[in-house]
Amino acid sequence: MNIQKTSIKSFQYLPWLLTVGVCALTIFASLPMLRWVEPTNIAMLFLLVVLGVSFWWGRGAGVLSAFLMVAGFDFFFVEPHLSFAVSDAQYLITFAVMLVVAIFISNLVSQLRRKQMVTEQQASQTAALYSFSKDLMRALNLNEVAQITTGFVRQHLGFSTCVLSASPNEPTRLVAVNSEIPLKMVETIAAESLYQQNTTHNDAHTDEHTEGYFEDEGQSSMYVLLQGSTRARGVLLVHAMGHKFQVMRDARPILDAVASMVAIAIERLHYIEVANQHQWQMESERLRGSILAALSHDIRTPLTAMYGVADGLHWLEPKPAAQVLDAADKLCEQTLQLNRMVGNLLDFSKLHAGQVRLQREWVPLDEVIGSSLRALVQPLHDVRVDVNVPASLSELLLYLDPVLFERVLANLLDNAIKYNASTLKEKIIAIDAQVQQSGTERDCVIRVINPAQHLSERQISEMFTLFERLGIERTELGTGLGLSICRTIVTAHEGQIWAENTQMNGQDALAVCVRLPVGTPPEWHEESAS
Amino acid sequence: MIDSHIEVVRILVVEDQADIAQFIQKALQHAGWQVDVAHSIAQAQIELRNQPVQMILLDLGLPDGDGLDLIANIRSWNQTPIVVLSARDQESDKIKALDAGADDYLTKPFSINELLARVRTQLRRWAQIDKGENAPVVQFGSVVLDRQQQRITRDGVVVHLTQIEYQLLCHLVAHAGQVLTHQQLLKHIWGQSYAENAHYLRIYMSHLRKKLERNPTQPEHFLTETGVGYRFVLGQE
Repeated sequence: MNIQKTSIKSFQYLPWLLTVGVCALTIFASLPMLRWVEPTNIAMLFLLVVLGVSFWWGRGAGVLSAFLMVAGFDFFFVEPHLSFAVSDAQYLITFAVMLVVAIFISNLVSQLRRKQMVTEQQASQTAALYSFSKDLMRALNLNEVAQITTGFVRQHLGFSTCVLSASPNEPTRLVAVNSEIPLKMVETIAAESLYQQNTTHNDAHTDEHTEGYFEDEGQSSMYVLLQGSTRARGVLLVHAMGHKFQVMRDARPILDAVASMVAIAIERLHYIEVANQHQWQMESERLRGSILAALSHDIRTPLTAMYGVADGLHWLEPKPAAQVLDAADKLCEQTLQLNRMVGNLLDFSKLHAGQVRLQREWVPLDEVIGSSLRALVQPLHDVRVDVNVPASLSELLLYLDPVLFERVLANLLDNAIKYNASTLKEKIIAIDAQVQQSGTERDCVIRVINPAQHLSERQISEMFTLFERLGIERTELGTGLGLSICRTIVTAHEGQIWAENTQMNGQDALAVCVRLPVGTPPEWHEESAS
Repeated sequence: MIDSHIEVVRILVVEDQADIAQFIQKALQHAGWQVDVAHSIAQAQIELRNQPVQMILLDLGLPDGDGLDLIANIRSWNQTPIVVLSARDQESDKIKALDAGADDYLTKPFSINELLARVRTQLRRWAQIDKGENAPVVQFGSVVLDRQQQRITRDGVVVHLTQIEYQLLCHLVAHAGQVLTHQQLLKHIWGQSYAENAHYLRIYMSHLRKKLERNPTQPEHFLTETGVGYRFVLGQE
């Protein structure tokens, strides 16, 4: 340590010693020349020396050489010799010129030197930042980003650092990715407050260069926000021992550059993760879809065979006994019910897996009702269906997914037949529709009505919850999935579904109502009749 | 030559599930048709090469390939009616099959009555095309359509149709018993640029039902194939 100091000291004095040496040498070497050379020309030689000294050893040495040369010139070359007394005041001009040259040249040189040094420093910083950014690009995870950052700041600035990034579970909290020094609770909180300020209002930047500097227990720390292109991504915490405000403030531009590169790296990792997740999600959705399709196929195949074989008994020659045919009919009916339940189960799993995207189209109301009636499982021959749709509404266009909405009405109609408490010989169901105006909104309400016992409020409110079935003691098939599916589909259409007690031909009845917003149908041009 | 076709009607059933193929075969044989069963596309192609068939019943999910390819292949060289067998939640498959050239589909599970009705309709249609039968007057329900005079009556009363309604009706009648997809109908009646305007088709279909059906919400002739298209049937089968 001592050796180093003395060597530095001696190195510091060397220019001065050399200046004195060069000056002395020049003066004594010039003495013999006085015989042949005019003192004016010797003065020129001296000026050259001052210029050289100023150039090589800086302003101090230049000024010293100016003094020495003027003194030497006065002492040895100007009358009276070997005396500092100057008979002629004009030698003051020589002195002044030498002084000015010394100061001017040395200033010029030192300015250039400083500029060169700054440029070199900047170039090396840029190169370092460039290789830093290349390293960051290669980072595969947050941990690597933090390691590269810590390494860079330590090597080039001599600070220890900690990268804090948004917690994956709580986006408003920060977690240390890695830290060279144990992180204190208060530091995490300070970082979080800076981060939250900037995530909530983005334009809250004050003076960036004094912001976030703290001193505590002989330790300086600075908080630099990792501002990504879309939002803040975390905080870079920089530590140094002792009072380092000035040092840190000088390093702030480079710290800011580091911070923005780290933010970009974190952002890049974030988007890679998002893309991967999306890919994975698509993959799993595709898988789920193909599993459901396979399941649907595998269950329907035996059902089709069962139904066909049972139905085929009717075509046997000779004709089987009546009981056999009766049994065959029952088997067919049960198979169709089973098929509907399987369909409901598959619909249910698809709907709840979020797999179903509505394919909405504008469909006239009478087609909606007509196709649902055709989609019924039960044969309609012993059922009276009253359709009460005002003629003005038959062409009302509703914006819905025709396939899914058909399932809603078909499920409701099937239930209406299944739970029919008609006192007449035949079962009777009614379906009606009306448009209700509420404010500027127009809604279409479709009701499916069947004779039923009066239901309590509780029964009605529980109807649409999963696996809740009316009249548990009854023996009809059904999983209760039907109404739950109806509600899911109707809700997806921004509609509502509910049940209410009503009257039908003077009898207690149950109405299940579906309300759909009418919306604004697309324009279409009616052609003139021909 | 034409008559000899009608005498022996051969139907090819392409279905990989033996139980289903078996009951279809029995039911069709019972109705008096000859039935060949193929369990794969390869087998079906051999059968088709061996003897002419008048009708093909085709399950789309076959072990050795996609039934759609088989439809396209058959359509490249003949117009034998093809009825596809498929499950209810495969509307897009049905549309693809119809666009590839299938004439109709049956949704699994189906009753034998349904099966026979579809097969009869297709055979009748095919026989008419084969014979070049195309009477100008067609009757369905209480409606009489005279294409020569461009006159429609319902219960003897003249019904006025617009130009497009009339075109749509004639196209449907010409393809009676066939399922036509929304896209096929839109392209044929309105042209390619209306492919996205399915509501036009739906509105005009609604007009036709109102004017020609006894009960527009429970139609007997202008049937909706939800999510796929429409089927016009002459009589209740």
